[in-house]
Amino acid sequence: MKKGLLILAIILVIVIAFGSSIAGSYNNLVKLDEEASAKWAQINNQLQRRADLIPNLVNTVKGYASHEEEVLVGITEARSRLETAKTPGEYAEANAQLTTALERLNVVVEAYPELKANENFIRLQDELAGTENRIAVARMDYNEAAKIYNNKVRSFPTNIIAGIFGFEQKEYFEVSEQAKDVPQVNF
Amino acid sequence: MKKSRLFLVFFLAFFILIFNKNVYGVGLDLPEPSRYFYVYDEANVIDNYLEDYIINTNEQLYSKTGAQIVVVTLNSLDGNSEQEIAVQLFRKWGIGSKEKNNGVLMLIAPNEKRLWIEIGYGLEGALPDGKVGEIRDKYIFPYFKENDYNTGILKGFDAILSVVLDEYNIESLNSSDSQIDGNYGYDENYDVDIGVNPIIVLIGIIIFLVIDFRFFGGMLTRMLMRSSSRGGFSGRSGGRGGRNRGGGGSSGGGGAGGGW
Repeated sequence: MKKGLLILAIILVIVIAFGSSIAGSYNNLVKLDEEASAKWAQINNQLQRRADLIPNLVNTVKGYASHEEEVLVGITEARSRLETAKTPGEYAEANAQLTTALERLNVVVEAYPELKANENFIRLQDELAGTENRIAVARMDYNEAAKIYNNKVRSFPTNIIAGIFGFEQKEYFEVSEQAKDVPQVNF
Repeated sequence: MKKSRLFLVFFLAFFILIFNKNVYGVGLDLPEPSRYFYVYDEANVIDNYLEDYIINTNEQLYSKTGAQIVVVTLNSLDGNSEQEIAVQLFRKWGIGSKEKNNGVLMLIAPNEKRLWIEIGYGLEGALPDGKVGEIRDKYIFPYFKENDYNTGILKGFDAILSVVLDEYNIESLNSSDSQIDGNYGYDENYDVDIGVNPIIVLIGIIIFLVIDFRFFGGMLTRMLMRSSSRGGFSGRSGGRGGRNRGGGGSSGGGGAGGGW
């Protein structure tokens, strides 16, 4: 009788120990998941902000450099790609495309001193530069958080718990190798 | 047994420190803040009067609003972008209060002719990128182009300051203001008020020394001595009693800058 009680107690201790360690791992995963998601939201906000600045920029440029239709179309296209992106990788690619389009604009702008001196244009450029920098920072923060989360999801024994509860790895906010290989149009 | 446990604690603390550095530093070799925190003049372009002005103004500003406007000059960016250094430095030093994130960092690299003004999260509304760019173009770059760093920094600092004061509905900072007499703006941990309770302070120091030499072989004392002599009182007037620190604020890349 006493022996049975002892065995029961041992089993109980083991069950509690296992249960609490599983709960601990689970809670930790939830926390890391939330952190990464919050940091992703930061990137998303800034991408949205960047996209919102574009129509204003395009209109301002049009007033001075209406001949540069091609460059402006490129910017508008990149912007709409940003709006339809779904995964972090797609967002990163659309964002990179927009950066390239804006760089082309900056080259073109050199030929329009009046536009370059336009107060509104200068402020928009500052807003864009600040937003780009925010994206860079948010990207660093997110990738760091995603890496910590992914490491947890992949490493033993948390990977078992992650598998049971359906925690999946997070995609990094970076341009994939495939997209990098797309030939750039030269001017 | 005791010794080995102590060793273990130090070992762990050491690792945590190293780990934290890796998370935030990302390979950048960032300086520690100066003793008075608000000015770090590595490139040595800021005159003493301006340094005093920035420090005094900030001490009042911090005590009233928690905001901090730090000016940093660096000899070299070591091939990094000014934005990258600025945001890392901002976060490492924790500029502005932790609750309000209302810090500003003006980072100047005179040799590379690069500037970045990083705005804490909490001041992004008052100081949007466009406005910061305007301050840069109106008050800073015209003087920097003439190599007049002191005027550029002063005018830029004042322009930012006035926006921050507006944000908190403060008309002006005045040293005769009763609220900011004495050492109000200093970090309390460092601001030991010897005038009130010398006996307690003395006992505290003795206890500290006894513990330190008994358990740490005097390591902490030596560390304190070294850090205070490094900061140094030399060349500073008025004999400041305290040491300033960041309030723990953070930023996310907002601001403006560029080359001149």
